[in-house]
Amino acid sequence: MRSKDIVVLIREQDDQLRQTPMSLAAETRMLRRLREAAAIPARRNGAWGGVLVVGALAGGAAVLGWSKLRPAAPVATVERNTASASSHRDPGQCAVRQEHDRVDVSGPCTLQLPSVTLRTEAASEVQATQEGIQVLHGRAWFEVAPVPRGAPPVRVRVGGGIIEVVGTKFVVNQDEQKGSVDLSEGRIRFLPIDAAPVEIRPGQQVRWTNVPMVRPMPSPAVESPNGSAVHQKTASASPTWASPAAKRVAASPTADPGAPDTRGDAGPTTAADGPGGSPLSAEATALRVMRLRAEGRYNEAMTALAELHAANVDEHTAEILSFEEGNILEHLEQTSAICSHWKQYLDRFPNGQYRSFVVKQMSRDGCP
Amino acid sequence: MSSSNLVAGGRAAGMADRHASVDAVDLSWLYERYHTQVFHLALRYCRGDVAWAEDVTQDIFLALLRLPRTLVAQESLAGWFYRVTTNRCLNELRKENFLRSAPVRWLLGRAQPNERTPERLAIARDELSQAFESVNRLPAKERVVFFMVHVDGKDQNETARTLGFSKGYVSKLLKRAEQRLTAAGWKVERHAE
Repeated sequence: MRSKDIVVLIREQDDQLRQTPMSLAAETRMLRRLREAAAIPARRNGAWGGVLVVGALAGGAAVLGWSKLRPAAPVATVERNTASASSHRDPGQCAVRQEHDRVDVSGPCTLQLPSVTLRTEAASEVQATQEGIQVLHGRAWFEVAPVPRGAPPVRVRVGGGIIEVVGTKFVVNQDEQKGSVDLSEGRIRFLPIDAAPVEIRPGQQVRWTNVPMVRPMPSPAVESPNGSAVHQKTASASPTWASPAAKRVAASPTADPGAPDTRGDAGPTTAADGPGGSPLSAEATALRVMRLRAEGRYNEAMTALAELHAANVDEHTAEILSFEEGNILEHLEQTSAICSHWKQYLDRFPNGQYRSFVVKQMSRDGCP
Repeated sequence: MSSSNLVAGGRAAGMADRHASVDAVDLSWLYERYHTQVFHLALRYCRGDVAWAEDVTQDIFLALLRLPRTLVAQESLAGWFYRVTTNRCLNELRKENFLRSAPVRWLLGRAQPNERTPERLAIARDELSQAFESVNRLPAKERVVFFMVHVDGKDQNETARTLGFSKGYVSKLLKRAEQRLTAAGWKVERHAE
């Protein structure tokens, strides 16, 4: 006869099993399967469309009246991952703090935003504001409901840029110096601060080195059905630049990383105006253009660039500006101007650092 | 089941209404909230087989779409998931036992499955794993009743209600399970919850 009680041992073993997580791949596959299954009854009901329409019309008035009385939908609902039977065994605790329209989440939580389900792991910090979501550090798993055509994409700010999402599932890893995004389903675009946008496909991973952020993202990013939204907070990341080009601009005396808004100001001031009304250098303006472009404010970026056309800049800065202009034209879909601009770039900078990208881009654009 | 709604009128409070029209979004939300509990239960009953537990978890949530919603709304969702998962696992275990029976294996032309694989033997070297192996060798119904009473702390009435058995039958299953474990050299004590 063994001395130890089997019930005690089985409970201990059960606790160990409780710590076994389902793999991310299985979760992704399962959620996709569930979504597909949930969509099937709706299609089958198509034959009953007439009946449903009559019913819908009859119920319309009631629903209308009900919706007037219904309390506003929550900006965000947070469920502790400890909601299940495993509550007392989860490492770390979910901590949620709400200040006005900003939500700070740390630890293992599930955050339900109007169009985003966000799950964070232990030792993670995420902020959600009206303008978007920011992963400060740690690991966060996203599922974004498909964004209707014409609606602004959901934006997730990370240390090295912005991830634009139109409906997908992905995981963000962010630490003090660098980060990465792994896409499991759908399509996202990563807009680095200092390089060309990158389309990410399922199974791919993109990594970045953190770039300082001093201003909030433009709104709107996450819109709720009832008009409420969550705001995004700015990040303070390590002052390192991912590319030599950006490093060079950042190292210029007029582009002090510690001085807020001299580089990345996206406010209503013109490109030539620094804080206090003093003119900004070409390098600082170039950095501002990159920021505007990364934040999707293409028209403002073009305006800022136009003011630099007459400026006397060195060859390296000129190349960056020319490349930026081409990228912005791509975003603005000014097809007539894109090819001629890229051709000018190649002519002027035959050994330019972005040459290979430009050649590929011209091929994609169908330029002669 | 604890919830922390950031604002009044949160989703948990409105779940009964929302459940009247389970759609992909609701299903995702239910999944987020309960899949850990379901997965753990399935993992427990299937001897730690992750793939088996994942399949069961998916089936449970798919079943949610086919059920009359009022049934789900009548009881706590955590209780519903517990009951459905336990019964689902029990059915799967019984089906598995049936497929492993000698006549069925003869009909299907399958060989005797080797339960004690080298991997299993390797992990069964400590007392903890040996205990788990011993419980997993119990017949399906006895195993489930044993877990419900001794690990989850359910009383026999509740166990009987959950599984759809009579209290007397649950009592008999539990007694048999304890006798088998005692015969295998284990000490089985009743623990008050």
